[in-house]
Amino acid sequence: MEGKIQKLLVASSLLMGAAVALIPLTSYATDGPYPTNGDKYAPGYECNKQGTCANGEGSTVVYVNVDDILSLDAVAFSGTNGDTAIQVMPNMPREGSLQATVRSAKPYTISLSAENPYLVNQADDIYVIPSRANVSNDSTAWGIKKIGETLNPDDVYSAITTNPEVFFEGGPHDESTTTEFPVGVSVTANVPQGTYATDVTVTAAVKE
Amino acid sequence: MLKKVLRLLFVFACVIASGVTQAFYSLNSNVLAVEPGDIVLQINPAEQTLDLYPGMTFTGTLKVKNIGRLPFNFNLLSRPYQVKNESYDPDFVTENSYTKLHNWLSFPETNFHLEPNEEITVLFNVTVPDDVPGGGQYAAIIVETRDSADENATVRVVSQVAGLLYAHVAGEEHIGGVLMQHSLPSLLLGSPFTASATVKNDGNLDFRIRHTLSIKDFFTGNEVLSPETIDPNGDTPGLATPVVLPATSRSNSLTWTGAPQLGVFKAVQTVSFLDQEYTFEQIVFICPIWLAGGLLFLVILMIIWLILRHRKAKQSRPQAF
Repeated sequence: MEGKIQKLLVASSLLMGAAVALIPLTSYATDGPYPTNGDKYAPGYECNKQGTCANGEGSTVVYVNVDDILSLDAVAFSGTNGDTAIQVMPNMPREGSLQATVRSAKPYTISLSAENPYLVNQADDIYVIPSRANVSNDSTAWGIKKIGETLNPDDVYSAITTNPEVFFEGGPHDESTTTEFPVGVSVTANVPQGTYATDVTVTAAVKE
Repeated sequence: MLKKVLRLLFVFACVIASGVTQAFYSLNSNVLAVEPGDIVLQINPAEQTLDLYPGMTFTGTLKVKNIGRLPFNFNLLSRPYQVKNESYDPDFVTENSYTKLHNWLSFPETNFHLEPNEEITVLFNVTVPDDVPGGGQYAAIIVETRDSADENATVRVVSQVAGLLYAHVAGEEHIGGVLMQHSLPSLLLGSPFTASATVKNDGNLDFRIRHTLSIKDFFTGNEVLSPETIDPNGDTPGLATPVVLPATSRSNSLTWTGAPQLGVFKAVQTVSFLDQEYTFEQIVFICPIWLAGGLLFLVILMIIWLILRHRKAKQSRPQAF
């Protein structure tokens, strides 16, 4: 028995040693330091809050101007069959998407809201599809998914309300960044046929 | 024969005509649909700080540019600006004593038209009442276009870009803050290397926190993360300078995304705001959970082996009667 345990101990130690040897220990190598926007300093460089950086006294001065801009390109598209409408059959939830492209020099949020959070029948406005988190086979609902592990860890739909709610948080980027929000709709057989629609407000704002 | 030819010609003409008609509707539909890059709204600056005093009238500007392919109309709205939680989700609806600024805002003109690549400088007036107390006031100028809404879509998008206004009204200003909470890990079994801090603003004026994280290799002393480090996305994972609005608490996290799976590091977290500075130091062990489990297994095995060996040695010892 003692011999068996001794062998197991040696084998386990060797196995662990080999596994540890294979773990990359230098994955923390990072870039920089480099000059950056804001009142941050790096060797040889000095940057002010306008993002203007100068390297060294008396040397050739290099200026980098980062405008405090915020831009938004928001479109609803890609329903079904290349259309901008989402074609839904009873008890068969379908998904379209809403695309928002933002360029921001600072961290930003994208919030969504709707003056009327119901998809309204365009022929007869007494028929509506309410916004709910529960978009499923046996429900009449529509919702939009928040994007990001923190905002939507369970990958579920969120109801749209009249108050703007954050659906995405992004970091500063020189280039435009596109975020696609899945839009889910489900109806039961009780919902009259027709075209249903509503206005969704997409609000981009910096988050300092 | 002639009849057959005529009939064939008629059928052919009908097919062509229907195809042309279908193509026309399809084309028409595509023309109506708004494509990405068509309506792109840009504002500059995205936030402004205004120094005001009671009774003053101030005129400010905001640049709005069309960087899309199509012309569009836009309008201006004033909204209160507050935050909902410690994560600082923006709130453009709730009104309190720090959101009166939107009532003082007015626009000489509210409706505009922009051609592609055209930029316009819009004016806004702030009329501060005589009897307002000093402190911070916060509002948002919303630049809105409804031209991005596709009439045929299930979801018709209205695009809004918010320009934030941080106004400081001269008068009785109270400046104060408290560090409510902070965390720096000591043992990480696969979870991210994150340092966090929560600061509460006790005063009536906003201020900035400077939150930094420096990490050195415990054995070599090499700095692997510092406030100056810039990651490939252009972010500074070791530095954040968030604003804390009056009567709110703000939490901030700094995460070292490039942390290895195994190692020992010395981490230093600093939180400074107003005239306060807090420094926290910690030795941090990073170890994958399978390795921690394996080591535990080895220790247990070692103890069993030692016990067995001790028993065997005891049994094989010469017995004295």
